[in-house]
Amino acid sequence: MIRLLNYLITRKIATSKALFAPLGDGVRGLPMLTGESISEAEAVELAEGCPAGAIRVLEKEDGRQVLEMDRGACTTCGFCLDVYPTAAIKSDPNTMIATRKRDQLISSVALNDTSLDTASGVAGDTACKTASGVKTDTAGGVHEFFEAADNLPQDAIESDLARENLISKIFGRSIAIRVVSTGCSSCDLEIGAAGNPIFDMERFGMHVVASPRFADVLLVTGPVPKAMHEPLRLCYEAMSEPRLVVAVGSCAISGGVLKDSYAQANGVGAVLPVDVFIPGCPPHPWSIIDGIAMAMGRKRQGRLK
Amino acid sequence: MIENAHIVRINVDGQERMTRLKTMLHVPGNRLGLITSIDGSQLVTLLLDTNTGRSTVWETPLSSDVYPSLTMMIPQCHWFERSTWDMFGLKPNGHPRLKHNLLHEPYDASLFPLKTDHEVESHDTDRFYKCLEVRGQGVYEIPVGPIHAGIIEPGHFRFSCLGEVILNLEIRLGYVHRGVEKRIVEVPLSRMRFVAESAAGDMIAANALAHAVAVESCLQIEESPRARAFRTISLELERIAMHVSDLGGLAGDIGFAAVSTSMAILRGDVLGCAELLTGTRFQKGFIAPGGISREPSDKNLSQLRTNLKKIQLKLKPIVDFLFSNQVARDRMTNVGILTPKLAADFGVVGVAGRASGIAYDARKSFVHGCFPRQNMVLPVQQAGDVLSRAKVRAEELRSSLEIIYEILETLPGGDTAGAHHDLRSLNRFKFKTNDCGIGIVESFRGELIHLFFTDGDGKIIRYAIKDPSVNNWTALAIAVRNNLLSDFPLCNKSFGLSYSGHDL
Ligand code: SF4
Repeated sequence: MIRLLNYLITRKIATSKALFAPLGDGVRGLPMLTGESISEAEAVELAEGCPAGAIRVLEKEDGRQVLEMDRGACTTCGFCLDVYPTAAIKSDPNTMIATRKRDQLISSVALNDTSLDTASGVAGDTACKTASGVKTDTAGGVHEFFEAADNLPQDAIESDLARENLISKIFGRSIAIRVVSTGCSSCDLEIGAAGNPIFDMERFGMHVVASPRFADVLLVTGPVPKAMHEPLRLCYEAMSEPRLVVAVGSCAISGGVLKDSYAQANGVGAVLPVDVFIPGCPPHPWSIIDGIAMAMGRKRQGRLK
Repeated sequence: MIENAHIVRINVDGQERMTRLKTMLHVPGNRLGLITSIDGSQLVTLLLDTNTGRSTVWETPLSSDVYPSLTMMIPQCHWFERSTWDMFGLKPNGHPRLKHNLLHEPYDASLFPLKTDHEVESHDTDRFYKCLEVRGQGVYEIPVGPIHAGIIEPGHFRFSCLGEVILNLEIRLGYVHRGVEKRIVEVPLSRMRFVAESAAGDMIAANALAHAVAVESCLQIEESPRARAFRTISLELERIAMHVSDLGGLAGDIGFAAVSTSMAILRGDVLGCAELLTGTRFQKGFIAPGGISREPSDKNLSQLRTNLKKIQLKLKPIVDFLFSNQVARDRMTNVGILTPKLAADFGVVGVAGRASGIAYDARKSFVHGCFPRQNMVLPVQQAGDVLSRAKVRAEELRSSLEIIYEILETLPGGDTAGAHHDLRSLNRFKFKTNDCGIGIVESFRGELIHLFFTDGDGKIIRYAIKDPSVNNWTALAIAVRNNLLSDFPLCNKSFGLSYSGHDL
């Protein structure tokens, strides 16, 4: 026992002081568009090689062809970064990559044209997204709750900033998290890691609870195959309002490499309204903490407050 | 008869299969690999010879959708027969507890996803599932799951208890069935490895390696020695990370926070090593048919060496604390016993097998990475309790670190890109017609098998994945009988099984 105490006391503090450190050199993050143009031949190769359908070549309404990248579908397989590197795509070292809207994960670049439609990672061109069939109006469940609350001034729920203020008032200091796993378990391991002494999400007021009854936010991992549709819905219904849903990982966001099969594993969005999307396969523990901070309304102008 | 380096494929009729299989399995060194079908018009039985590293596929043509079950004679058939029913509609006649295993109520009773040869007439109107009922005065049931209290995958446990004692545990899986085996044959070869990796998120290196070995065995190509070395390190790093995590989990379930948090920190260090080697913590997309997808830099390799030394130094005292603590030992001793006899009957693999007297490790028998290594010493235990499984893990941590050192010391030079390395043009490879490929890998959980078949055009039509958990879930149900309910989490953690790998 004495030896054990001695061992523990002589250890240095493991908890990372640097918050949301970017990924190190040579570490593969999510891909992002650099803004460089790309030839049609290369774009087609990439689209064919991407296992998750995250890279696609689309024709826009005005007839221009674009390469569209959906970071919410990307499984970080490395094909477009290591196997078929191009100037148009690079690895994104940023770990703060969660978004509130599904379409913020999609960006595109015109083929053989230097104009980038969007700054990468920021909401893109509508015509392009409609073509890709991604729903853009994924307002989360919390939104509905605020709309239903009649004592709120109308403009409060209309502006995003005001809505964030409200969320942060309720959840900003601490939040109880219920994790529901419906996938391959790597996202679960990273959520577990986010709670370990290195990342220690408890210090930000985020704690994992064992029942939906006293949870504020549902953290869902995995593509939600058919057998989990009903359990997940029941779990959500057992939570008291206001409640939030966070989709963790590309399977939860889009179904990943297994979408559109007989098992209907098409992501959380097919079953529940989603408030925050954390891309990655699996997302880095920092990304998970960042996404939860976003759900808490603690993250404004990109910084943890 | 079709033959390539690792696998023989022969026709065995139904009668012969019934009579010969049991005797074959009694031959020392023989194992049942898996039972499945290709398209629903035959049964496939995979026999492994762990002495020679060769495998034999028995193909048994079927004339109807019903065939005689072998479960009463060979208990380990029971799980395979249930899954084959779900996926192909082939019904094992005489199975003592025939229930669905992968597809349950949410699915249509007539859906048999891998059946391609003809429509099956479904004899049932739904996929109703009934748990075994234990009757008697004072017996009560506790249903747990599919959603668990912790951060783990979904599955349903039905405990029948008398007082605090578990009389029976029924495990119902299938909640994370995502259709991996179907999707993998729908995509071109270049993308298959990513689908294989998605089978189980904690066995990414193992699944990628098994896929690569299977493809290479069928194409009869080889990776370069340098790529082989990196693949082995990748596989062993995954083992270290997960054994550390499982030992930490055990300590956590005992309430030994000092050890569990120390292990959690250590696991972070191991994942850091994986990142140095492969670019990601979970080694995604690293191992590929023909070789590896990126060459680690010299700087990273020397960093890897230093970090591993540090990990080894840190690991020893933590492991010692766990095993020298009397309370921890008491909690693990004689709890969750799996006897060697039952372990053998149910074909238990991996850590759980070695803790129950089964001296089998695919790293001693089958070609993958720098294996087989015939001279590996296996840490076999006989007691079959939680403590034995913990000890086996601790021993394997040590040996895995040694294997990595040894490989790093003698790292072959040259190129990681063999003659067949261009991953951009994987799709140009043509498989032989009506052939098969097999990859058998010792993942951190145990024997993982990837087996595929090609059709008359050389296209892969059936890709079967046998996760080690398929063998071992029954073992957990056996081991917790007559144990205290409160010891269940500990038993469960000591087996450390995968839901997604089983459900696919
Ligand atoms: S890294 Fe992502 S975007 Fe790139 S090919 Fe792989 S899945 Fe597609």
